[in-house]
Amino acid sequence: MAEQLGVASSLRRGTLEFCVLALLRDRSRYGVELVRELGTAQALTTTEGTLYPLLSRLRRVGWVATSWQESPAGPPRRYYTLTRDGRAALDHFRTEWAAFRDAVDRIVETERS
Amino acid sequence: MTGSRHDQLVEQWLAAVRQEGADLPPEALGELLADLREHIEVARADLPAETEAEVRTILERLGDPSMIVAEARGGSAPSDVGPGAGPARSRVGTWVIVLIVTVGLLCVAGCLAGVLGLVSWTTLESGDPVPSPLPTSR
Repeated sequence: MAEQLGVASSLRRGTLEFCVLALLRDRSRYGVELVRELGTAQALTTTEGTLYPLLSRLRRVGWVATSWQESPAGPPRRYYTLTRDGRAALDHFRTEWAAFRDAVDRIVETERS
Repeated sequence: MTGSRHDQLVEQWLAAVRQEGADLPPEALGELLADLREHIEVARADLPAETEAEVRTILERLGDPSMIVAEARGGSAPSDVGPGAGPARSRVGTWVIVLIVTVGLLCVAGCLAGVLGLVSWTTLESGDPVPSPLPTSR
């Protein structure tokens, strides 16, 4: 079981941040929204809280920008937006990922049971 | 009232994060705490009716404070963006080097002590500097 957790965690590292960027492709989202949407994909996240350090890193390298917006009913929310650099990074990842995924599938013979 | 009881739970949880993250750079810790606090407040406001169970669920879904801090501490920089090693990694590396050098020095010292000890022992025994192992006379 521990072995399986290790594999999943290794796969997540390096891909999760691009999944976050992809969720921001069409529109900005606020923290809770982002975190919940990723949370529905069981394979992707450990716990919701671990996404905030990740978002922090994306902010720091300039792939994501944040802004505060007042909410009609409730506390103000921080919205995350994809920057131009972030969009470029995402596009690059998508190309790399497709090639990588296809190669691994082929070698590991994912289709064959 | 129940409101402040829920606030207490939240503050306790955030205090645990603060404690776990004591060794983080203060700015990073502050940012993390602010993000988590905001998440909790927004999530609570989204609840139709706030109960203690609901608040606990919000905190549980956020996860274990030590795991969140571990992510903040150990996560490397996003791919393709330059060096990812944080201060923790170079600190470990330094200690490994110190350890190797210390062990090396101890080995050298040990060898020297052994040689010197051997020399003084043989001197003590026969009075001669080094006794010849071979027969001297033919």
